[in-house]
Amino acid sequence: MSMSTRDLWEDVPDAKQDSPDVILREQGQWLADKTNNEVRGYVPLRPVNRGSERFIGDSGYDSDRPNWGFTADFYFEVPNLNGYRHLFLEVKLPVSMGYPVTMTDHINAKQSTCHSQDEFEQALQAAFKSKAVRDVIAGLRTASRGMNQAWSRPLTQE
Amino acid sequence: VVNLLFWNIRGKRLGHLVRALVDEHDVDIVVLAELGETPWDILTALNAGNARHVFHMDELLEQVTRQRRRQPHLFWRFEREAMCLRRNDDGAIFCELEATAGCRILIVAVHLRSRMHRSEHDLFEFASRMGAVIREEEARLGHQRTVVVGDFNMNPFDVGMMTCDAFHAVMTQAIARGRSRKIGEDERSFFYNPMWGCLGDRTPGPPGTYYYDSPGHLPLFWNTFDQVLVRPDLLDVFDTDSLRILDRAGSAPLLKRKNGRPNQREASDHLPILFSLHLEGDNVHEHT
Repeated sequence: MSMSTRDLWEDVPDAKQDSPDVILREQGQWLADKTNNEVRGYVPLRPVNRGSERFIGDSGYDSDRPNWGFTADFYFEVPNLNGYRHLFLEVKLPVSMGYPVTMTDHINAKQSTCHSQDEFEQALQAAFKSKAVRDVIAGLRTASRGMNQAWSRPLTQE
Repeated sequence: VVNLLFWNIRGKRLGHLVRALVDEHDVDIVVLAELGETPWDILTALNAGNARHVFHMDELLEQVTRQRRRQPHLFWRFEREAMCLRRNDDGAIFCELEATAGCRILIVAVHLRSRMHRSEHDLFEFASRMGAVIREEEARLGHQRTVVVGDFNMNPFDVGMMTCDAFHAVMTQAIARGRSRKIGEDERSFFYNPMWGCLGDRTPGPPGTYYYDSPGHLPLFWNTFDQVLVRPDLLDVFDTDSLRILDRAGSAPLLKRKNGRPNQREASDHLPILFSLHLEGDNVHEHT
C-alpha cells in the first residue's frame, strides 16, 4: 500500500522498564528465589472497566473519579498446592503506566496512594514486612512443604 | 444429589441454627458469610453429637484469612480430598469439587463489598473485576462447570449482575442455554440467575433475602442480595425447583411474626438460600 503522507512520528517511545506492574513481577520473582519457589508472585494486568458509564448514565458520573487504565494484582501462588492463588495487592494504574497509583493491601486491609516509584517501593516494603503478610507466607510455605512430605513416601522396587 | 446452603449470618453466633438447617435439609455443602464465631466453632457445631456425616473445612484457608471479616467460609461433608482450594480473592473463594469420577465443578463462594457509602459505579467495578477473575480461573481449569453463590450485595437486576463485563447473569434458562454471545471481539459466557424467579410476593417463599427500609427516594424494601448463578454447562444438573429462600431453621422462625421481616435479633438480617445439584450420572456437560 502506497502512503500519501510522510511519517510524522519522529520517535515512538518504547515500553517502560520500571512501570509498577514490572516492579511487582520482579518482587514476585525475588519471593520465588527466597522460598525455593514454594511461594511466588503472580501478577496479571487487567484493563479497568469504564463501561459502567454507558449503563448508569451521565447523572451517575463523578468527574473526580481518577481515570484508571489498568489494575495489576499481586497474588501469592503456591505451585505445590495445585497452583493456589491468594490475593495480596491490587494496584490501580493510569493509562500511562506511571504514577500516581493506588495500592490496596488486602491482607492488612489498607489502601494508599503513591505518587512516585520511591513511594511505591516504600509502601511495598512496609507491606512485605508486616506481621500479617509474613504470617500468610509462613502458612503457605508450611502447607506447601506438608504436601511435599505427603508425596515423598519411599518408593518400593517393583 | 448435592444440597448446598448459603447464609450471611451477620456476625452472630448461629452455629446451632446452621446445624438445624443442615439436619433438616440434608445439606452437603455449607457456605457462610460474616461469621460471629470461629470457623472451628462452626465445624464443631456441624459435627457435634449424632451428626450423620463428618464435615470438613480447609484449615489452610482459615489460617491465612483470619483477619478478613468479609471472607466466606466453606464446609463440606464429602471426603476431604474431594474439595480442592484453587484461589482466594477479594471476598471470594474458589474451590473445585470432584463431583463424579474425573469430573470437577468449580464452586465460587462470594461476599462482595457492601453497598453502604458506595456508588453504582463502585459496585459495577467490583462485579466486573470478579467476573474477569472467574473467567480467568475457568480458563486456567479448562472448563466452565461453575456455580457462584453468596451475598453479592446487588439485586439480580443491578448493572453489575447483568452486564457482559461483570457476571452476565440472565433471567431465563432458554437464554442461558445459548451459552454465550459476542460483544465486539469477545465471546462472553452467560450465567443463569434463577433468583429472578424468587422476587416479590407471588412466590412460595419470602419476597427477598434482605429487608432494608431505605430513607431515600427509591426504596425497594425487599432485596435479593443472596443469589446463586449457574453456567450453562450445569443447567441440566441444577434443580430449579429445589431453589428456596428459607424462612425457618428447624423450629426457629427466621422472620418476625409481627411484620414478616428477617428477625435479626434472634437470627440474621439475611435469609438463607438452599438449592440442589444432581451430579450423579452423565448429566454434567463437558464443554471445554
